[in-house]
Amino acid sequence: MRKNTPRSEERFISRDVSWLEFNARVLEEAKDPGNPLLEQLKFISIFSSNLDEFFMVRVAGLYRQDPHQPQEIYGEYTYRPEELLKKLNKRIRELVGSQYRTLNAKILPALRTHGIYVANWEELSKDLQHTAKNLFAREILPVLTPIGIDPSHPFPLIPNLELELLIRMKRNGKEQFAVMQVPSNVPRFLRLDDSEQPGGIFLASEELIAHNLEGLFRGYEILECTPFRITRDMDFSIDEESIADLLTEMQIALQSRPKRSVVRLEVAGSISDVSGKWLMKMLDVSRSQVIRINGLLNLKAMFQLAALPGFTHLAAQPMPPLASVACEDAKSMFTRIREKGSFITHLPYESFDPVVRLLEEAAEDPDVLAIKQTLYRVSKNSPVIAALEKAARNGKQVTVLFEIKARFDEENNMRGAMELAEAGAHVVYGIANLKVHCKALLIVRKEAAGIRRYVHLSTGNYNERTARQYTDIGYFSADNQLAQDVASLFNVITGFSDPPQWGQLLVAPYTMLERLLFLIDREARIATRNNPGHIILKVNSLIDYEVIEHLYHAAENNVKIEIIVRGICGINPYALSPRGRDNIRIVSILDRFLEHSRIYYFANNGAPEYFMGSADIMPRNLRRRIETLFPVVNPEIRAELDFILRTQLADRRKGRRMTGENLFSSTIMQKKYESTRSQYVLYDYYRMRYLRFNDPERMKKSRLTVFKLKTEKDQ
Amino acid sequence: MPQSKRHPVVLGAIDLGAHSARMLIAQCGPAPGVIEILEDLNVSVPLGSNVFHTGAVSAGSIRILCDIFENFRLKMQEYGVTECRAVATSAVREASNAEILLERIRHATGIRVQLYEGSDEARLNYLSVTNTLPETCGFDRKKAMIADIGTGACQVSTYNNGSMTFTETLKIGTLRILENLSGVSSVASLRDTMTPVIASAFSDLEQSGVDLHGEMLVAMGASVRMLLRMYFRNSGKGEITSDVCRITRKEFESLRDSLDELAISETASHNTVRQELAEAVMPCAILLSELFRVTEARELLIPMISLKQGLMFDFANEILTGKDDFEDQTLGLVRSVAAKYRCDTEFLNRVEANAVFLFRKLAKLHGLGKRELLLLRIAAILHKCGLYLNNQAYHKHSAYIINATEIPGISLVEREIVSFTVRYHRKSEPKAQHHNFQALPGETRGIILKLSAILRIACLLSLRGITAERLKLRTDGDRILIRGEGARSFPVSGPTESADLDYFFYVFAMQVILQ
Repeated sequence: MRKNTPRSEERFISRDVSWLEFNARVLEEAKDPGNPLLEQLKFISIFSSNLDEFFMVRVAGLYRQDPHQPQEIYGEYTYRPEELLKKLNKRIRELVGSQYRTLNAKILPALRTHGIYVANWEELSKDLQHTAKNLFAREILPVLTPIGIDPSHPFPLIPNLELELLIRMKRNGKEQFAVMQVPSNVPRFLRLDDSEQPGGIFLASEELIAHNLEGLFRGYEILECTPFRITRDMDFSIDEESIADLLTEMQIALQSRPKRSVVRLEVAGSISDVSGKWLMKMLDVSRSQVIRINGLLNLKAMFQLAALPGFTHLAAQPMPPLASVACEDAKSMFTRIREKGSFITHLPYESFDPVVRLLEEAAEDPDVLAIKQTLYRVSKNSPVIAALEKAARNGKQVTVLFEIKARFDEENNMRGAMELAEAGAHVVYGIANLKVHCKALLIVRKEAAGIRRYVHLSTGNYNERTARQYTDIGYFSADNQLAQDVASLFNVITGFSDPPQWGQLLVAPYTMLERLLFLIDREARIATRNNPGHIILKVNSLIDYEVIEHLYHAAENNVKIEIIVRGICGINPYALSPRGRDNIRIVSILDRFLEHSRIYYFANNGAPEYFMGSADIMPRNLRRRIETLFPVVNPEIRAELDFILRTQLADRRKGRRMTGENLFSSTIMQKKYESTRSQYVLYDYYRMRYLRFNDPERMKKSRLTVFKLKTEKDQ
Repeated sequence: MPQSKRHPVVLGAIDLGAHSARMLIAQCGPAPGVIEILEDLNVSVPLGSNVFHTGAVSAGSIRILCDIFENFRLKMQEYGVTECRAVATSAVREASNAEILLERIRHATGIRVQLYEGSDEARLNYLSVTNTLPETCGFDRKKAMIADIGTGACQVSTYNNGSMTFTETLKIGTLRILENLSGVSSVASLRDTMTPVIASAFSDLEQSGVDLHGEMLVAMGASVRMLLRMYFRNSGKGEITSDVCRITRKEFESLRDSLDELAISETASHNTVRQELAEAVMPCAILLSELFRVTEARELLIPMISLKQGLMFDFANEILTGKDDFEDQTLGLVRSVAAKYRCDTEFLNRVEANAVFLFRKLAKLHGLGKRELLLLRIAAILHKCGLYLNNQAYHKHSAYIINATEIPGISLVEREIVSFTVRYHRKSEPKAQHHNFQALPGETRGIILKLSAILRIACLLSLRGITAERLKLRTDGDRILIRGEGARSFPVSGPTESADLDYFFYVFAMQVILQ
């Protein structure tokens, strides 16, 4: 099938177009009947949440550009914002339509059969309507603030992504509009029945408000009440060269966010022309920016229903993080790392606890002199921050790079940064014009044999919440050369030093791109038809066109390239010769955990090189961020990485294959390949390893997924 | 003092150069030679461009430096650094406000930065080369030149069979040349303008009669390493991995001829090399050409070691062993200087041996240490070099010859001690009108008095033909009895001898009796 595909003219796939197809794959998870029902609902929410972010950043960016001016991307490859927006708009409408069809026609009816009713007002019995009115009067009415629009009351500032109601009304023959925010502190879905059974009858809060307006607009005839929601341009940049205090500038920038321009207006499909036009005028949006929704707006709120208790049979089976065998005893983490040498923990199959334990031990250990850490996205009440605060209070030299520019987590991060600074830590807020995205921890400890440094490098953030959802790999080591590189990395980040000659680490934006290109080119140089080269890249996104060109060149020169990419993928193998095209295989895995780890493998003619780290293959990662890739030389860890990569490449249950230009195979009907489902196979692998280590007897009785890795020949 | 040998020590070494301030933190020992680098910091600061242009370090650079050194202090605190050695090289050395800069740094951070002379760099170069070069290179068996091409100066040292025979600081550093020519020469013609400037400096050296020939040319300095990296990359050899690199004269010449300014700036942007370092490559290549010409060497050896690393090796060695591996080189060079001024080697050896004998025997009396012994030996070797100029008041001629000679291995203050020791080793004792002497700190004056008193007795004994092996010394109350075994009696005959003994009594309040 693949060989018949005609050669494409597009050498690259546009980043935004590719992203939309990624979100289409997210939506496919909502359609997969093999997924539990609440899991399907969760993916409906994720699809919406992703799309919100896409509008706030990417679409907003396109609107800021001159619509007719070709924008350069790479070499001769350009795009016109107007054309691209048109293309995106068309696809977004198709996908949103598909999302609502899936929700309305499949998921909501299926939920009803399990006792979860999302009703509209008309469907409620008189008794339930009465209950609802009481609820309204008691809990919602007091927090409502309707704003009538007239010459003395101008159109108010509508907050980003909040659900609003537009009320068109009439008095003395004159029409007037009012707007009212659906309170965000009230649950979006209100349970009306008093049954003790799980589930129940739910009414959306905006529906309840819309049917109880009489008390709010006395003397007015309500002609129409319709929900709407706006999305603003939330991407901002600061001229970091000319500012003195990044923290203050960030606060100012965040405060100005509510006033930023509107890039999307979502309205109910039933909105009248009069109201629609009036809203468009007030919000200064064009027709192409309006999306009519046939159903409930803001489906992100479906997370509330997806998390309903008492429906374990409708939810994904629990896969609690397992204790890491590398840390599963009473020995201190320092002793473990020293004795065992380098080891990894694979989240979320294994627990994030070793990192917290290492930090907590370091905070209390009188021999620890200093702790340095990068923090990108942290949770509220983060145990990582708590441990660092404790360390600072205990007199350790604590240095924390808090990347307050981490998009949409800015406020959380600023709060954490200020708390740490108050505890006495040296807090650095990043480097001008470079976002610090690497994940690194360095602990300096004075031991009997002298100073020893402990390092933890990771592919994911120091966030114990996302550590239960994202697949990431953490690497613990006391290797001196690596520690020196990490120490240098912190010196660069904190402004203590210019970039050095790096020993082991590949560090962006200094050496990473050059080194990656070298590794790809080397593979192409040594590969022959009889001795092909081999590259495996597991990344979240692959969109750096310079790297892609080198990959194309390698593929055309007998290098087999396997790419496991979750999101954006700018490669179009169909632009190559049949030989080059056949050498590229692209797999995209979307499943219950978010694939987040980055692993790089280069066969190097039998002397393979492995790297892991924080960097995706994107221009921003390689050129505008501080990122790290670290080499893995330990044979045991390499074997584990091999297993992870081969398992993922063999996944036919959730691994979509690229089958055409920006086209991926569907996995909706692939239940028969359940035994190849990589996330389940990996969980079983770690469970078996844990049992072998802790309870060999139980392991013998344990039922494990039967999984046979396919060899390359089988494929 | 050597440290406890049971645990490693954490040391800091700071080098303040023309382009940047650099610091190493290393864990050293417990065995000598074991050095594990913990931190390697490098912060750009345009000192050289300030100093070579205006003669002083700008106020802005002083402020930046205080911040940088404060960061260095914090970093040392982080690792529990017990001792730190900080040095500043040519840019600061030449700055008219060097003292102010160093005091500002000391006041702001507590770090005392020592001004490093060219001769100090020559010492470090030797230690770095001997620590890095493999035995097979035969540094100990050949005539060799070590040239340290810095930003402000080029330190040239010659060795014969591993012993230093000459060292001099040439004021032709890479940045200095660029700064001096900026505005005078266009980028395109820079090479043509630089060449005669550099050639002229070497021509002066050749005319001074120093033998610069060598089979081996060893070059050091950041620009040399940069040039080599460019060569490796451009010739497809990849990254440098060995501690020492070799490049033949032919290879060097083809590299030099292929250099052009545009390629250099492109190198800088592509390889994330600092622009100023990339720019230094061209003058560096011309300097190396001249070095090849004057030495007639066929090969260039480049140890991949920086000044801060050399500093750390030296510091760690001193802390862990208490030894100075360079002492022999210092004495070797001093002997070469004495030979240059046609001194009587046999007599000098006798004076030196007698001085060492007296110094050791009278250790309790003078309370001086190993360092002062070295200074006494240097004074003993050089005390007669003034005779080359004039027999009259030759001690004064010797003193200023010493002051004008680069003596690697000792500091400027120490050289001054040697000079005054020689100045007062005969004739009059220091007087109130000797302003230069009186301006010295009391402690320094005390050392000079003690060393010159000992040197006087050593000379007196040597004049009588007494050698150290035949000397016996004992103290008896406030008398020191010195006997030359098997020698004829040596009664004090003339007023000169009497004056020397009186001088000794004046300094130590002990009467020397020569039996």
